[in-house]
Amino acid sequence: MKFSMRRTIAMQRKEFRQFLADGHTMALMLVMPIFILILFAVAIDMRPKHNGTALLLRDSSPTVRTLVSAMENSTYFRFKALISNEEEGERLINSGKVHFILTVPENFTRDLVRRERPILLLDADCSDPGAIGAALEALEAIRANFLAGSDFDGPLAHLRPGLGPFELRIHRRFNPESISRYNVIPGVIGMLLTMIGVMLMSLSVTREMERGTMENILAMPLMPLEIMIGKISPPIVLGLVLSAALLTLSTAVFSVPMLGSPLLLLFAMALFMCCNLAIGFAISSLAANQTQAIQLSIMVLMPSFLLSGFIFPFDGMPPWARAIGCCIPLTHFLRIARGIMLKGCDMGDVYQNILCLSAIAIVVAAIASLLHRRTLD
Amino acid sequence: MAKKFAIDVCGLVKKFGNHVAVNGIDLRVEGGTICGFLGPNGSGKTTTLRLICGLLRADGGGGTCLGYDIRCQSDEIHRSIGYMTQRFSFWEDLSVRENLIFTANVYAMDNAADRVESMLKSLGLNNRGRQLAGGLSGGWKQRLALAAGLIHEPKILLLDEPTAGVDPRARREFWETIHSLAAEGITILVSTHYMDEAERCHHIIFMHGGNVIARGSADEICAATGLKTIEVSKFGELTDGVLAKLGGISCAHFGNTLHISAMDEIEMRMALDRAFGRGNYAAREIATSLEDAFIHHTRGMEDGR
Repeated sequence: MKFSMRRTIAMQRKEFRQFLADGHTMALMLVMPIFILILFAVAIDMRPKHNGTALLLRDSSPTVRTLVSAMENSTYFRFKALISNEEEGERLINSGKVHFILTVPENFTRDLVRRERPILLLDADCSDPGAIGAALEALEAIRANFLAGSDFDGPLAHLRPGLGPFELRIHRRFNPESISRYNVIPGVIGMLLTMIGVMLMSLSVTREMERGTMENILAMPLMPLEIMIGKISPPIVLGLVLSAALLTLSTAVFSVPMLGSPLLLLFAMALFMCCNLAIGFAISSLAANQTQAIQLSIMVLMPSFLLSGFIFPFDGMPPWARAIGCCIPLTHFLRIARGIMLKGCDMGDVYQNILCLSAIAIVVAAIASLLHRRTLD
Repeated sequence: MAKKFAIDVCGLVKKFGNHVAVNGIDLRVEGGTICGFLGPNGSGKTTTLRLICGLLRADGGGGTCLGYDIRCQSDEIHRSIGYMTQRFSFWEDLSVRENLIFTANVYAMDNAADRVESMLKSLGLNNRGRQLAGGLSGGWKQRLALAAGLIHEPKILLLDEPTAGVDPRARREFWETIHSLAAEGITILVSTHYMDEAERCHHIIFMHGGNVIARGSADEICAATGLKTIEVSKFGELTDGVLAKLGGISCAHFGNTLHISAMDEIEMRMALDRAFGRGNYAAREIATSLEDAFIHHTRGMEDGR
């Protein structure tokens, strides 16, 4: 048989026809790459700025204020909270609200003037080592040049620092050796649970539609909630077994710390799975067939991975991207998982994220049961 | 009218986009009767059944099924009807027994396990309880679907082309079951393409293009057409030219004979003389069959377009 242009064109026409008929594929192929390009171009900063910082002032002279504003002007630090004791600072850094705590000790200014090189203490959240590196570099530059130019002229010129007028002691918290694996593994666990939950569930109802068994289910006296609970149960069990296996592997083999309560983490995982399954259920009610369900799942999964703080630092994103990120279950799960594993967080530190996960689960489940077809229309 | 109908709907309309699938159907079915929906593909049979059991929302019209409003009481209706879908809709990756147990539990049967076993036995499925439903042949799948449809002792049974792809013996047995169910007082609505099956129904609803074009018993429908039918045999060679000379008269082959039907017998005889030549064929009048009526009606509809 010889190659026939006519047959080829016939084949091409058929393919174009089918390709254009499938709106979901078109949307996926056009919107997704554009969205990702924009995200990379404008939204994602691998050296996140405006890192939340808490300030513990035991000395508040004009010199200290100069230091604070120098740090803020570097754009890497944003002072979010003025605290009065260490416990408050612990709460803030444990719950991830701030990444740094700057402690200005008593008599800092006095010691500075006496050239006794006072010690400035910076607690840094190293659970994501990549994200804070730039801020630490910026602070080091501020220290080296602090007061170098302006104030110490004339008789005070001898105060001009050589090595910098004060010593900076950085307390690398939670991951002192900056092992990036420690940060990545809780993220990977979250990613896997998302993928499995959303994909598995998105196929469940569409499979019934494709095989024609949905008609039977709809003709039976079953409520959407009953169908949903029934369908969610096996993946939940699978998800919990998988979660336990992944945690065991991470801690036992890859020596990722587990400073907090594994039970609290498992509880969070179950809640997180509920969110993912509810999203999957909503997708499966929207999609007409299994191919569409997979495509829609990818549309949900990509932003999850990009905007949750899993791949790129959450604080390196502009406010709009962070707002989207806050609606993504993975964002909250990552904070919980990293918090419990690396920081030893307890319920008091993560309850806000737990509440967010619960809210997402309830809202999505409500939408999903509304979307669920009660007739064949 | 004091009589209580199991199904009493009127003016049912269902549109899919611009396509009117069901165009204002009135239907009253007495309890314990078998009502057959006959009509070509796409005539609205399946849509009508789905409207009655609440699987589709009607765009117009309404009525009751067992006294429940079909528009807003579909939960109550679902509980008291059995619906056998056109396409096999049980879980092929579950065993026969598992499918039945699931169904019995969904209908919250008190004695689910006993009920499943007795269903298996009465429909001759008890040797196949552990077999996966996907591995069953067409006839057995049909029995499983019927068993599942009956497990909750419904008062109405809706069967959508139940015997498609089923061999003649299984079909006959199936219809015997249907009749004994009707005798027990179950109302049965069944859609079909097969004339012989339609003839077994007490009442036939003849559908075309979403409309009811004839209704009544098989005899009533045949008589109402006013058709005369002649069986022609012992004719010579049948060529396209010969058939053309018959004009617009409806004609169907039955082995070596031809059945021709028309309103006017004299005209028919004249056409036969024209086509075959006088005396070159044998002809006798026979009863008009449901099929002749079916062809007559559908042709009339298509010519009218």
